[in-house]
Amino acid sequence: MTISSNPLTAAQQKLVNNRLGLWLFILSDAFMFGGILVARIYLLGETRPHLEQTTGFIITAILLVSSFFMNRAETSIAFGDRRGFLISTALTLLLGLGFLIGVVGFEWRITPFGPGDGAPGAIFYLMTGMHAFHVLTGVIFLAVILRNGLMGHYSADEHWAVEACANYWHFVDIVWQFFYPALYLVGVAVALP
Amino acid sequence: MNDPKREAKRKEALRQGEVIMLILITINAVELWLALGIKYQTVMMATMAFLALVDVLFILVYYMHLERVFSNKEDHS
Amino acid sequence: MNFFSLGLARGIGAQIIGTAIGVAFMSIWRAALGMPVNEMEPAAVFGGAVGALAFMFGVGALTDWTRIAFGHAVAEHPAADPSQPTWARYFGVSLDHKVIGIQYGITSVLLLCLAGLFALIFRAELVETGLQFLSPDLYNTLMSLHGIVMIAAILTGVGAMSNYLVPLMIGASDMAFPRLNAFAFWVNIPGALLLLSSLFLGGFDTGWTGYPPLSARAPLGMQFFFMGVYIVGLSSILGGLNIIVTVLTMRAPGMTLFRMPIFVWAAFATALIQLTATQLIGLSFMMVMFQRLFGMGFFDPAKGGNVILFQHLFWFYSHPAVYVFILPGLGIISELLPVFARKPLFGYKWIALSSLAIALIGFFVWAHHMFTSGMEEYLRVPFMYSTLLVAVPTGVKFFSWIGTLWQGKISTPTPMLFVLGGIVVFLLGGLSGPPNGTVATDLQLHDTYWIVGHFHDTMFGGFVFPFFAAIYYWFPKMTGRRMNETLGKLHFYLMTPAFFVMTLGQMFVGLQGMRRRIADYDPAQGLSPTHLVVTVAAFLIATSVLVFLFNLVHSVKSGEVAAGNLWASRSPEWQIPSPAPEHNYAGRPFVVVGEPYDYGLPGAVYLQMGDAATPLPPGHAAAPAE
Repeated sequence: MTISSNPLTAAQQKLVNNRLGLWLFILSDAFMFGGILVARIYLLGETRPHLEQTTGFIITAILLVSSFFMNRAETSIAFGDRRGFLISTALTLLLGLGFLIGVVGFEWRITPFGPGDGAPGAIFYLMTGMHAFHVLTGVIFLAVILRNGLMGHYSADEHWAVEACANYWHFVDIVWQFFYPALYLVGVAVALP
Repeated sequence: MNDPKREAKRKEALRQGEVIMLILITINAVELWLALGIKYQTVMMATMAFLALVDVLFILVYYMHLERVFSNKEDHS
Repeated sequence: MNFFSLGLARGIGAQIIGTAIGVAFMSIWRAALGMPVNEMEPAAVFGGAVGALAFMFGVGALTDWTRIAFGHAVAEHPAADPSQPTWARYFGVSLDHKVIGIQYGITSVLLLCLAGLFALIFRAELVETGLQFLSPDLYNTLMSLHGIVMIAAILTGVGAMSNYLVPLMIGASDMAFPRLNAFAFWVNIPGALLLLSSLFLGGFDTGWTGYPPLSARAPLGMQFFFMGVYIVGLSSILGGLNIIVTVLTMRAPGMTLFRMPIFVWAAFATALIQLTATQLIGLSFMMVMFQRLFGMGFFDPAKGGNVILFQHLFWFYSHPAVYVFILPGLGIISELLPVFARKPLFGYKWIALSSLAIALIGFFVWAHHMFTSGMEEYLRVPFMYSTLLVAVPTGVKFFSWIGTLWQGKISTPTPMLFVLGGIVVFLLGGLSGPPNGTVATDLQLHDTYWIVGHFHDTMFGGFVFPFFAAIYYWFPKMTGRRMNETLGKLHFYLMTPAFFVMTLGQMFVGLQGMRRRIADYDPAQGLSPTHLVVTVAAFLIATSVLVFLFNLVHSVKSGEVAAGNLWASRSPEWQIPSPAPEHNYAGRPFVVVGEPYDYGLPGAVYLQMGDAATPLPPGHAAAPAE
C-alpha cells in the first residue's frame, strides 16, 4: 500500500498540480501543431514554397537565442538573483518582439504570394501565423512577469509564474524547431504564381 | 547569495544553459548546411526530422526540466 | 435582489454589447481600408468572437486571472456570498466543483431537450413523402443543429458527471484548478449561443460534420457553427486537463490507482481523449473558417487543396469523441451494478484497463468513416482491423457486467432499471457496429438510415440511459431528497420500448434504402408507414422525458428526504451527509484500506473514516484540505 508518509503542504500540492497542468496543456497544444504539420505534408509533400533562406535562418537564430535568455532568467530567479532575472527577461521580450517583427513585418511583406495563392501559400501563412500567435501570447506573458518582477514579486522560493512562462516560451521554440525545416528546408522549392 | 556552494551551483546552471545554446545553434546550422546539399527528398525528410528531434530533446530536458514534473520543490539549489 | 447581480445576466448582456462593438469595429475598419462593406461575413465572425470573450469577462470567469496577472492575491477557496439566495449561486461563477457539476448538468438537460425538439420537428416532416411544412434548407439546418446541439449536450453531461463525482470519489476537496473549472463550464454558454444563433443567420446545411466543399460555400450560419464548436471544444480540452491532474495528484491516502471507484477510471480515460484529440476538430474547423475568410485554399481543389485532408483531421477527433460520449456512461454502469447486485465487481482491473484500451485504440480507427470518401484505398483494410479491435475491450466490459450480475441479489429501483436498459441498448448498438466497420458491408450501409439507427443505439446505451441512471442515483447526494420512484419507473417503461421501436425502425428503413440527411424520399420505396411508427416512437420518448423533467423539478422542492447512505453504497461520497457539504471531506478525512467493490463479502472494509469518534490510524494522517 502506498500511503504517502509525508503529505504535501498546500503550496506543494498547488505546485505539483500547476506543473502537471502546464505540461498537459503543452501536450494538448502540440497535437494542434502536429495537425498543422500533417496538413503541410499531406498537401505539399515533397515541395515547398520558395522562401528567402537568409531571413529564415536569422529569425530561427533570434528565437533560439531568446530561449537561451529565457533559461538564464529562470535560473537567475531560482538562485535569488533579481537583477539578472530582470535583465534576461527584458532581453527575451525584446528578442521575441524581434522574431514577431521578423516574421509578420518582414517575411510576410517580402514573400511574393498571399494566403489565397494556392495550397503552398495557405500552408505558409497558417504555419507562420499560428506560430506567431503563440509567440505573441508568450510575449504578453513575458511582459506580465517583467512588470511583476519590477514590482518586486518572485523569489527563489516562489517563482512559479516565471517557470511557467519559461516552459511556454521553450515550447514555442520547440514548435519552430519543427516548422523551420518543414517550411524552409525540406522539399523542392516551387515558385508560386 | 554568499553561500559559496550555492554560488558554484548557480554558475554551473548558467554554464549549462550556454553549452546547450551552442549545441542548438550548431544543430540548426548543420540542418541548413545539409539542406543545401542533400538531393534525395526521402533522405532529407528523415535527416531533418531526426535533427529536429535531437534539438527538441535537448530543449525538453535541459531548458524545460521535464523531470521537475515529478518534484514538489520550487527551489532548485 | 438586483437582476444584474446574477453572473449569467451580466454575461449575456456583455455578449450582446461585445458582438455589436465587434461588428461595428470590423465594418469601420474594412470601410477605412476600402474593402467591400456589404460583405458581412468578416465583421460578423469578428463580432461573434469578441462577444464570446465579452461574455467571459461579463460573467466574471476572468476576474481572478486578471488580478493574478497584475500581481494581486486572490482567495483560494472563497466562501459563498451569504447575502445571495442559494439558487442564485448556480447562475454565477462559483469555484465549488459540486456547483459547477450541477451547472453542467442543468445546461446538459436543457440542451438535450432543445436538440430533441429539433428532432421532433423534422421527424414530423418525414412522416409523409413530399414536403409538408419545412423548406429543404430549414430541414437541413434543424437536422444539423439536432446533431451538434446533442453533442454539446452530451459533452456538458459528461462534464456534469466527472466534475461532480470525481473529486468526491477520490476524497479531494475540489478539482485541481477550480478557476479553470469555472472557466471551462461558463465558456459553454457563449458557445451554445453562437451555435443556436446560426439558426437565424441563414442556417447551415452540412450536418454536424461540416464537410467542405459544401461548408466552404454554405450561408453565414456555418461560421457561427464553427465558432460555437470551437468554443465548446475549448471547454472540453480544459475540463479534461483538470480531471487528469485531479485524478493523478489529489487522491486520498491509500487510494492507489486500482483502488479508485471505477467511474474515475472511465472519467480519466475520457479526459485523455478530450485533452488531445479535440485540438484536431478545432484545427479542421478553423481551416475552413480561414478558407472562407481569407481565401486560403486548404480544401479547394482549384487551388491545390484536398477535401480528404479535412476528413482525416476531423475524424481524428470525431471518432474518439464517440468514446468521450460513451466511456463515462459505461463507467456509471460498472459503478452502479455492484451496488444493486450486492456482489463484487467482476474483474475490476480488466474494466479499468479496458476503458484505457478503448481510448487508446480509438485514436487509430478514424478512417472507417471514410471508406466511401475516395481516400487512399490501401488505408481501408488496416482501418477495418483496428476498428474491429475496439470490440475486444468493449466485450471485456460486457463479460464483466454479466459476471457481476450472475447470482447477485439484484434489486431494481429506478437507477438500476436504467443501468440494465443501458446495457441491453448498448449491446444492440455494439452488435450493429461491426457491419459498419467492415469495408464490404459499409460500402452498402454508408450514409443510410441504418447508421442513424446504429449510433442512436450507442448514444442512448452509452450516454442517455446511464446519464438518467446517474441523475436518479446521485440526486439525493445533490439535493438531500430522492426522486419519485413511481414517476421514475413510468419514465423508464415509457422510454425503453419506444426507443427500441425507434431505433429498429431507423435501421429497417436504412436497409430498405432510406438515405440520411434527406428531407424527402421516394413514395415508391413504401417507407412512409415505418417512418410514421418511428416518429410516433420519438414523440413517446419525448413524453417520457417530460415525465422525467416534472419529476426532477417536483423532487427538488418536495421529494422524500434522503440524507443518509440511501443505496448502501461503499463509495466515499455516500459516507458523508447529503447534500454534500461545501468542503467535501473537511473534518472527515478518510483513508483507503481495502478493495472498493467487495459487496457482500463479510468483514470487507474499503474506507476508514477519520472523524472524532474513530480517528485515523497512526501514520495515516490525511492530506490537508487543499
